Amino acid sequence: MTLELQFGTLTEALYFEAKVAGETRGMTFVDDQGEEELVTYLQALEEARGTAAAFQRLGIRTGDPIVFVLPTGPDFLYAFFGALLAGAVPCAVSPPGGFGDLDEFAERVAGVVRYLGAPALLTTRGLHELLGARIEPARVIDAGLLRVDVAAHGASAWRPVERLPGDLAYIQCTSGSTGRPKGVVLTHENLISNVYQIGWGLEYGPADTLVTWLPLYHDMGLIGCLIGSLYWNIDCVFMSPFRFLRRPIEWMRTIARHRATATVAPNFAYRLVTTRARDEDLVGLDLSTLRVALCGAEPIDRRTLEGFAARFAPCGLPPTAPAPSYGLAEATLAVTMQRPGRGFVFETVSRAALTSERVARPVERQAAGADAVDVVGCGTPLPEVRVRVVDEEGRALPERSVGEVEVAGASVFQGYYAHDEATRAALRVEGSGRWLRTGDLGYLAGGQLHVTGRRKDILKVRGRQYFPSDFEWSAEEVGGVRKGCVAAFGIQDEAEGTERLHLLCESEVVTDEERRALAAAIADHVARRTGLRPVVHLAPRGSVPKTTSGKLRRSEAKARIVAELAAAGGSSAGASTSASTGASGGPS
Amino acid sequence: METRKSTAETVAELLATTVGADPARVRPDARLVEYGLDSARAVDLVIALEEAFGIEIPDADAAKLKTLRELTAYIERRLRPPGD
Repeated sequence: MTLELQFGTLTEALYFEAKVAGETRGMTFVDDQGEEELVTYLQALEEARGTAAAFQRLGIRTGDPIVFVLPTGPDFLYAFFGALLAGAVPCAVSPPGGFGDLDEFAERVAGVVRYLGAPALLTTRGLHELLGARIEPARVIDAGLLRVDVAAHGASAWRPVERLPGDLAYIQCTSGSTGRPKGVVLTHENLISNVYQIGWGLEYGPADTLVTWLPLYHDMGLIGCLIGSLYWNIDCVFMSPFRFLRRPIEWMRTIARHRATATVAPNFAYRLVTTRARDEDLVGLDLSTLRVALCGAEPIDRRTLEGFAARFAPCGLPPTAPAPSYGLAEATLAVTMQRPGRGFVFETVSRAALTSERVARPVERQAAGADAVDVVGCGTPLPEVRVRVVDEEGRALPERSVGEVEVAGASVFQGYYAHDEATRAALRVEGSGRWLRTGDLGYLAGGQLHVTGRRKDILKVRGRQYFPSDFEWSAEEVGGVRKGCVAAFGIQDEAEGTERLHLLCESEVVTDEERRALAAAIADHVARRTGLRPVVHLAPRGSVPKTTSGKLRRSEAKARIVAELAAAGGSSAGASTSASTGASGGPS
Repeated sequence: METRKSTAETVAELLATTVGADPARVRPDARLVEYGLDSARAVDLVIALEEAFGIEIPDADAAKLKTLRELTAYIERRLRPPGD
């Protein structure tokens, strides 16, 4: 298979699509209240050209990074393509969400602006003042005023800028709250290659419609949904992420209303919509058009996909719709994907063999008992993407051997922005090839990539390695533990001279008696399922740290418990359960 | 009629319920983020407050509220009749 890219740059793609199907197809935005607004590709091109002219009037030059702090909506779309048409390089940062400390948010944004040396930041009127004082000498552009300017001047003054496939197109910044930001640098060729591969993998055709609630400031929303839909000339519906969080079932309703054929979300979203859906929500809901429900961006739990398929089967959801995938920002977005219509696959393997022998050995679930663990297949590599598994010395391993996943192909990033050392560590140069070291552990079997954990999250207890998700999913099986709100990590135990398994679990229980009973039940259950007895820390709702996209922050959870143990003046060595009092009632 | 005290109490109770804390231990000047109100979870509290007080709380407003005291003051302002 050879890539036959239709376009060299994103702006070429926008021009072509606007001319071909511009007046009928486009992006629909569904706001918090459910109001819909269609932006055709032709409109998008016109607005983007006007925006590019406005950026040029403001002194933005070719190659300048521009930081966006904008919600998902038409303004984001115009600004993104406007920046590209002006030859600038957008970098999106998520706006503040929920209640918050705006000072911390402003510091984070200022850190990104300084790191990139960006001459300008584009944001909403509401955040304009807050950010203005922090990022001098960079200029803060009010997106509302920019629109007024575009309306007044149009696109006539826009001076076209030549961009080549190898030029920078986008910088994806990690949203870490501490330390220096890290920006993944992507070229037009990276983005075009990957969205071509994704659409090929999804078998996109003219009849397809994609519905998503993923925000445009995250790569899955921006690259996978916005750029992918543009490249493949399909309709795409963006519903507000806050609308989804408030009423998850609206995601399914939007799919039904638009007769959508495809959607994409992380594991937690499928679980959330499954558990929140009431029986009456399913009445009259028709999901029979949804041929693919792509799942990615975080570890995939077999039971989540099975539960989702079963819950919405009465609505006509095809049982083969759930499709796992694997990817990372350093490979633009997607690396492997289960092909539509096949259904997802998983295998049951020996937990002990996986971690100590580093081999995926299939076992019979009943006979293996606590040693059995299910691993979901993340699909096969996308066209022209090469995937291999290597040992610590970088030697390729055979099928079923567990090692670090490495990726090569046109979607592999250029490097981290102004982080040469991190770039060198992430790329393995071999002859003419560049292999991306993903930091993820996994194995290949039957053509499918199976991801078993993160190299750095791995726990080592008495020389044996364990994957945290195993313990987390076991703990969640205990009644009273909040699903998706368990973090597992190892803490060095001085007395035992090895790491000890700790679990931070959210629960709703209140009394000390209930807490002791629940902690003991969790410890018993996890020990039975996994062979390791954890130290259990119960904490109220909202205590397990997560990223805005819902990924667990295990190292942050660990740091919190380590600090609490130190403050309590001793280690919990010897105690098999401890209803950690430090985290019991919020700040006190 | 909502009295000043009952608004504060209701808000504190809803916060405590949302994060699973003891209402007696909720402090007015502690930062809301310290209670683990990240963006996804904050939505739960916003919905609870909207239902309890019959008002709508835009995300942009919520983003400015740092403490329970500020949140309570905001809701009291919103409940006041216009022109008061």
